[in-house]
Amino acid sequence: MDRKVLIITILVVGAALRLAWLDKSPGSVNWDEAALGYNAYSLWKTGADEYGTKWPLALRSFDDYKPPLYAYLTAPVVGIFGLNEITTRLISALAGVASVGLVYVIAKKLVGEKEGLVAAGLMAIEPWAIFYSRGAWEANLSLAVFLTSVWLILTRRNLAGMIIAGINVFSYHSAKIYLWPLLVWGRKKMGVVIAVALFTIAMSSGGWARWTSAGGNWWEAGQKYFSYFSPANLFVRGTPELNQRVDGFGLYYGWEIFAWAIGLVWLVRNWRENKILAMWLILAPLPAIITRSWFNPVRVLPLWVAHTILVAIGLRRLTGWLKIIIVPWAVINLAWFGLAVLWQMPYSRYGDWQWGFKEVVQIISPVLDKYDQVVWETGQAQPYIFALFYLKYPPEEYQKAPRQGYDFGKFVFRKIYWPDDRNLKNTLFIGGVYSLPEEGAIGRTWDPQGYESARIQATPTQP
Amino acid sequence: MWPGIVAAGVLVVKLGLMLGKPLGVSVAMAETFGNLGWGEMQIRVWGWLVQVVIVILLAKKTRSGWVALIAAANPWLNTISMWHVWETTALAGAVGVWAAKHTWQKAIGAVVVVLALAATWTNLSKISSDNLAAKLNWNFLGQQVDEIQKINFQATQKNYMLPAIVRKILYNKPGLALNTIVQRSVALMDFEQWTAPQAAWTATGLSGLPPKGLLPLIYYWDIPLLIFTIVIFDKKRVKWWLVGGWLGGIFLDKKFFTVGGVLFIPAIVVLVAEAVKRLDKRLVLVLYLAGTGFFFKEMFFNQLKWQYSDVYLYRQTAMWLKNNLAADARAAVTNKFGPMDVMLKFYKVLPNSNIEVGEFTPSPGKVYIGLPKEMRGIPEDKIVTRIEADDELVYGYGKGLWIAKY
Repeated sequence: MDRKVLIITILVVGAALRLAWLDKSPGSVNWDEAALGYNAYSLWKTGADEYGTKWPLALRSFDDYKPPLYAYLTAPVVGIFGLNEITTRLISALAGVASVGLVYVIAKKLVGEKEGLVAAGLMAIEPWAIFYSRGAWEANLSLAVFLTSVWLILTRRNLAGMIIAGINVFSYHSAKIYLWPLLVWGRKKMGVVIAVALFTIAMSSGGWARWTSAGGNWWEAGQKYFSYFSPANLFVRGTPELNQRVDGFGLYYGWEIFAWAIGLVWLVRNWRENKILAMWLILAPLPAIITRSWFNPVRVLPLWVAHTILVAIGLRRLTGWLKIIIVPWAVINLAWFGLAVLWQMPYSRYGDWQWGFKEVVQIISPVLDKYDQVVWETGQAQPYIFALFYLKYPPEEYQKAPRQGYDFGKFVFRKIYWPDDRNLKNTLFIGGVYSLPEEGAIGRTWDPQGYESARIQATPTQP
Repeated sequence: MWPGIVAAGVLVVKLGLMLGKPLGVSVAMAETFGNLGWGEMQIRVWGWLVQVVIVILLAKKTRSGWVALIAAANPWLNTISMWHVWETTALAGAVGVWAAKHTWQKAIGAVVVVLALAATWTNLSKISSDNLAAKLNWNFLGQQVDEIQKINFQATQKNYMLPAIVRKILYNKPGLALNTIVQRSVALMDFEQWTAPQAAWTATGLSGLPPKGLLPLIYYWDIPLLIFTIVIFDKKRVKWWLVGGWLGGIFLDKKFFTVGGVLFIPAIVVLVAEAVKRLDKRLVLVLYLAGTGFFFKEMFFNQLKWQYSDVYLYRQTAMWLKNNLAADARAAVTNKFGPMDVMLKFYKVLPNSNIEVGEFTPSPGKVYIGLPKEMRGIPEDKIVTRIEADDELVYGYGKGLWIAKY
């Protein structure tokens, strides 16, 4: 098949796997996605984030000072097409498709044309690459930007590559660590000056707070480092981070282990001729090992690209019976994964994605004007952001009102004690099945497994 | 020469720690060695001697002092020679077969393997009940296939089911069996289980590993050394150890990998030694002495941090009864958290007609040793000793063990 046709086919498959039913899986936006979406909406409408800070260089959000690039890129999307799950996730999905193409040109340059095609093909279908492209993960945008800078430096456009690497510090925290090896590699004075200036700006506008909150000790740092090469993590178990799991899958398919091992052996034997790939593999886990959590893949997405290139190298060198069975095995695994993501994940892991706010908002939106107050009881942290997101609450109004915890407008987030609360007038209550009576409920929601998840009660409106 | 001397030093230090800081024994060891009339120190010394034999045989076979050092410092070998002495004895027999030059020597090694496995057969049968064969059972695979399809159907809110032919291709027993074997094999290469089973429990717990009871099998810097040496070194010398370790490892459940994968140890030791002899000698010495020091500190001085407290509580109970129970006093000791009678017999506290083992309802005139909740009804001032421990061995019964003179 013609190479152009092949790469276009790969890109189309990659796009389909990333864009299809983007609102259905993951089953709902989590709080970080909601925050990014709403801040993008706020930026589009007012030029300020939810706190009213004009053109911020870091989004204060939940005091985690999110890098703002994702929100800025998403702002026109939500501004033009409306604030919803698809528009919030679209930039990540498109970055995922771009990464497929970038992996092709990078692997082609690093190893060879055929390896480039295989690496792009893998990138299009691998569990980790699909998963992180289907959520509004800043890290996935950062990966595409990182790959762009690598490609530019590889093709001797060092200055541009270094500036892009500098801009990347505004897309994800890990990019602040990846920046330095790229500067050493790029070796352009002006590039270093610009990138370091961008790094300094990013750190002084909130990045430092995040940096110093990392933890762990040096002995554990060594152990954590190798967990990013552990076949059990890569091919079977995946991560313990609940909102990054697809049950039954690691970051890669089980069949890839054979090719990965061959690729690793090849790299160890030929590292002198492949120093860039070797350094990439060795340095990429660094952003994750200085933090407390064990095996948190989202922090080191560039590492997974390096592993993907290793698998591609191995696949090209596969021989014997493995070469024969690997294609049908891969197709079946892809089908398993597709069903796991599109059907099983929204059904079985909805709880890890803070499901349930959208369904409630759909019920209360038409009647909201009738009530003076809305009391919302929820076990979720940062509940206000979901209400803002799904209600598309006007940012200019939200920014104006003084902040009192999570409460805003007529919304109050607290526990409900129905024997007392029932006496409040003109109030809408949203709570769990143990907080509100079934009788007289004006609405109820059921989770994907059929259990009642929320009840909505209203106290009489005064004339 | 000097790596061998350092290895001897490490082994002597371990012997000193074992004798100076007894940690108790597991129920499985008490059951099997108790029948022979052995005490804790005899078991420990036997385990230590077996480790020494393994170290010597491996060094002799490979003619390398480095192998001796790596074997003496290896956490896995140090762990099993303390806590799985029969399995270590069997390993020594297998290494003997490998290292022997004469047929009669090989025969002795084989006999040792058979006898040691026979001695611990009851324990091995217990831990091997949930084995690979059970997972590959045709009926079990059928149930799994049905379960996946059921979840798929429910996930579509019971609106859609894939065509039968597609389901047959995607979800079938041979495919699931192949997937199970591959997954179990890959899951053995679990660097977190190998180097930090407790610190990384948030990750290893996903594979069904317990939060306590497992020690590291290798040091984390052994991982790149193993990768390096597997690539450049002639693996044929240790091929059968790798195959044996893999078969044992995938046969038993992952949480028993310390025992199931025991045949990996000679391969790991030889491969790591092959790599370290290419490194700077001072670096190697610092790494392995620091690593061994850290490991021994954990094993001997942080017992309650890495091990469930039952082993400790059995020993403390036995020691207290031996040292404090008056000749004419009567005592009731709980068996709520495990076979206390077996353990007290092992520690030679039983048989004693004044001591009853079992659940009790406190009434005045006895010494009671039990879990905190079992002491309900006994006045606070009658509690003479509280043995502190981290784990609540029986849900809702409190941590540690209390002793009351009522």
